[in-house]
Amino acid sequence: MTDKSRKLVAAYAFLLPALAGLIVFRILPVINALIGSLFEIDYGHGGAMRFAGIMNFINLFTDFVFWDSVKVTLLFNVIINPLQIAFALLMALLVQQNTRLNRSFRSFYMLPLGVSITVASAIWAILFNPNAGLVNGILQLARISSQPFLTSSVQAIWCIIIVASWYGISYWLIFLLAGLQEISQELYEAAVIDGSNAWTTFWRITLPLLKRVLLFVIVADTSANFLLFAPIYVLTKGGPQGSTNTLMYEMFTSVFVHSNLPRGLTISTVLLVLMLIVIQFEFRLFSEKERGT
Amino acid sequence: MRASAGQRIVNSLRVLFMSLYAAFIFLPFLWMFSNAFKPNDRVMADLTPLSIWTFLPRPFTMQPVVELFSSGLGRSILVTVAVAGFTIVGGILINSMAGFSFAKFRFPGKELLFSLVVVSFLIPFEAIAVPLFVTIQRLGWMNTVYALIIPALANGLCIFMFRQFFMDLPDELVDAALIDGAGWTRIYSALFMPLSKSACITAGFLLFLSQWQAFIWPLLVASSKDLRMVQVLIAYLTKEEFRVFWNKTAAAGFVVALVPLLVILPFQKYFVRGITMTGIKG
Amino acid sequence: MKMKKMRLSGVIAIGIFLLSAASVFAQVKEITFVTGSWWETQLQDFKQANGYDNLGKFTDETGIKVAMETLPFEDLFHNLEVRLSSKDPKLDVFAIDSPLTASYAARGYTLPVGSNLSKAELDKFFPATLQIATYKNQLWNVPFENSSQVMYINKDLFKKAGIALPSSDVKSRLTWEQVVEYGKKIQALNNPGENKVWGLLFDQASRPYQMLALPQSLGAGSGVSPDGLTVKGYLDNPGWLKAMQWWFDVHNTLKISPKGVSPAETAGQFSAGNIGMFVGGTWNIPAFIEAKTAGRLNFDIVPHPYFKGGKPVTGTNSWHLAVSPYSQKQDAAWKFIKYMTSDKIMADRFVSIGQLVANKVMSDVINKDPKYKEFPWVAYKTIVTYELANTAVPRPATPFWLEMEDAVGKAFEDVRNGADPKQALDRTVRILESAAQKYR
Repeated sequence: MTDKSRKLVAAYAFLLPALAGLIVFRILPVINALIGSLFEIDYGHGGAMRFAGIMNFINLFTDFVFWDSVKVTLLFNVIINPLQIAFALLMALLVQQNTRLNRSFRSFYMLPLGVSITVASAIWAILFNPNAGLVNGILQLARISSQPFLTSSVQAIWCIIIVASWYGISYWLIFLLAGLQEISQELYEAAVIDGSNAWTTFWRITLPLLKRVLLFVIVADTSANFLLFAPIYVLTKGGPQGSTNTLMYEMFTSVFVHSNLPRGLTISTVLLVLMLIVIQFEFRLFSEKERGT
Repeated sequence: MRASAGQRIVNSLRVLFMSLYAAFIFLPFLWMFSNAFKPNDRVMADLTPLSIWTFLPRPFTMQPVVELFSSGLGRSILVTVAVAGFTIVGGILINSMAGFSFAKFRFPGKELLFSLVVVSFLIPFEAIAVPLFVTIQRLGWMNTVYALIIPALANGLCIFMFRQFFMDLPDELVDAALIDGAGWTRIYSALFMPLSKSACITAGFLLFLSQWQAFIWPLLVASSKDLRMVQVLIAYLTKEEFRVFWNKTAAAGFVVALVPLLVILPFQKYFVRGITMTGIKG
Repeated sequence: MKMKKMRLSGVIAIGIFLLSAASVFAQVKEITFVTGSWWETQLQDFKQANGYDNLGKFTDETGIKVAMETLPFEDLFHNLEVRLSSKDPKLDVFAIDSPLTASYAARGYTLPVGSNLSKAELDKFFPATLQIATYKNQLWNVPFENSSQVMYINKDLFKKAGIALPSSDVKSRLTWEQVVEYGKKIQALNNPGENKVWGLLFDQASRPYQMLALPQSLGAGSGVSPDGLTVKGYLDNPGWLKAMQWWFDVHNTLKISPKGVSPAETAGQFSAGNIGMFVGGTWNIPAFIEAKTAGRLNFDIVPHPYFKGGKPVTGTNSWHLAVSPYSQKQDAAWKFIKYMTSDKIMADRFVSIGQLVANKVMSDVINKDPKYKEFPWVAYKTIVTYELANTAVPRPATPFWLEMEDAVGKAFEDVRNGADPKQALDRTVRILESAAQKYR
């Protein structure tokens, strides 16, 4: 066997186990789902499926609830993704040195990871209670009047952002810390000798060397936020007045509340396309040169 | 060099900021801690007006915690940790292998296969719940640990992460090893993996958390009493058709949060400067 | 020779027949029953009170084991959705929320009862329970549990506000208008700026199960046409608007009812002594007794209010039992259901678990058992029996009940949080008319 073909065999061999798992447990079901969006339920014949072509998509695109949902999803993601990443990066930079103080703070910042996002959301629901919640209680101490929070169609989405970030920032912090840790200390020392300040050091040294890990965090965070479910399910159920009804939640409602699987699959197809566009853009932004032998 | 006044101000602002954020993080835990030891109806009663009694348990009772453990919380934690353990070991292995392949090789179909990896984590679970359910049934894995572990091993996010980390390790390393006559398996196991401690630990967290937090999937395929994963059990123990046991929820949240922390906190040192110096980047 | 051969082949044929019949019966050793997680404690209570195992006795009598799988409330629906839409053959009997009869029937999720229950067996059930299980003139599941609504009064708060305790006579029940007056007085007990006590709170706030009683009491109907396919004209009529406006007012204008309290928290609020009037289900009684024993709550039970000039209406219906059309053990499944709805089992369940049951034997128990002469269980005798027979209105039969329950529930919740009633109703009509298309 030539070197080249040995390389090829090796490449596929290393890939095989994980790829097999992905295909069986993710890709095939996805294809199943995509095909499912081309069918509809025949209510007249006891629920059998019949082929509908693109009718599901046409029905979806003429449904005002769908478009409201798209608006909410885009607004939500445009705010939360940069917010979470910038904040996580900031916190990572602040706690990366191994001082005793940092170690204590880091332990605090890891706390949310122990709780499930569902339980955390349930507790935040109590904290945000408009009549008697802890947050309003604290605001009252600062002489600010009680806020409606989850019962307000303006504030609810911000509450969701806060809850999702309470959990999410801690999660991405770990990856960013790992990425920062890889950057050689000598580089920083050299920069200090050269008279570089914190700001310049960050842009010239840290950021470029963090690029690859940062890309991972950005793409993963984007997908997590487009697919965000638990806080909305526990706290607002898409309300008030649809102000937190993201595409993901609308999809869940279709499948599990309305028992309308085809519509749900149609929405998830649209969601998939939307995410691929955004992520493709993110990959381009952090364009990387092809490497490898 | 003594810190200048300006630097000291910046430093205090920094600490203030970090403390405020820590307070924000801690708020729900404060609530959990105070309410884990109260009788259920006092939880709602003490919420308002805000007083010291909102935070201090009165009357104090260990009942919620006792009830949780006597209803199988202990076993559930062990089951979940065991399932997570297998997922971590198997997951780190196969996902790092795949990440290695994407990072250091060129082969036909690479772009397509990598897009499949990305697509795999862009799918909402609800969209594939039914076909996955049918698959597990056909394999005869209903209510077995296989249903909990096997589908969780291949993780697109994990593969992606390993790819990014491995791409940061210079090609020169690989070239040098090849010249020395090392085979690919050696390069992977003896060269790359030891250099990727933080990536492996991060992947371990990712996989651990995915099992620790798992709810919908175990509920669907493994809800039998002896297999209940921890989040599923908590849902059973704290929710009835018409009411929620807030004190048990607080107690459960509190107890259950401790386990991942016991796992995460000792590994912290692998994330910080000054200990693991790979000295490679730059 | 021929005779012998015939006799032999006859014997062999009979033998094979008996063997296969035996194997068919022998095969059905176990059926799978999927229901809510609250059954786990309920079965323990049953065994403790009655001395035998609810499910175990069925096995003793028929040799068929019952493998019960339980799920928490909301997850139960999701799980059934996955299993039924994937035609799971391992599902035999399941608990169905009875208003979903038409929806499940339209999707082919339940097997019609047909001749599996005789007329005599069906006569055992309260008519309203059979009504909700009927769609297009067929019975799609078997009544099992029932529910009724009452109003709980916090005696201490009434006393503090100087309000005379309302009577528990069904003939002289309060009107919603009176409730509002009392609510204002109780609300005035608060210190300025505080909101510790509230005048009024609904158990399943914003959920149609609880809220439909409002427009129904005004004679505005259940929001959908008799054939179950249209909402326009039925959901946005003046009666519905009036009911929504009332709902808006108690939360936003009069402020006698709190926002942001979910159905999971409402009973807890009443137990904590914070609510003057709590409109809710009879299932709350055990929890309220607990709070009373601990000295935290002093309560009374009175009938569900109505709108002045309108009719008294109460919510009703609960879980029924259904057989999956994909079950491979349908005979055993029907046997199980007949066992669970038999007089003795229903009576024993009612006594030990406390949930109302759909079998008329419950009236006998209420009349004979001395437990129901005392407070608070006397309410079953004086109030609930009357309501079940006279004021209980089932939820409307429509194939899009799932969509309707969701949309109408969201409308109520939005109005509760300050949305304009007319806009909310119009939006809901738009959503439901579009959803109804596919069922026509």
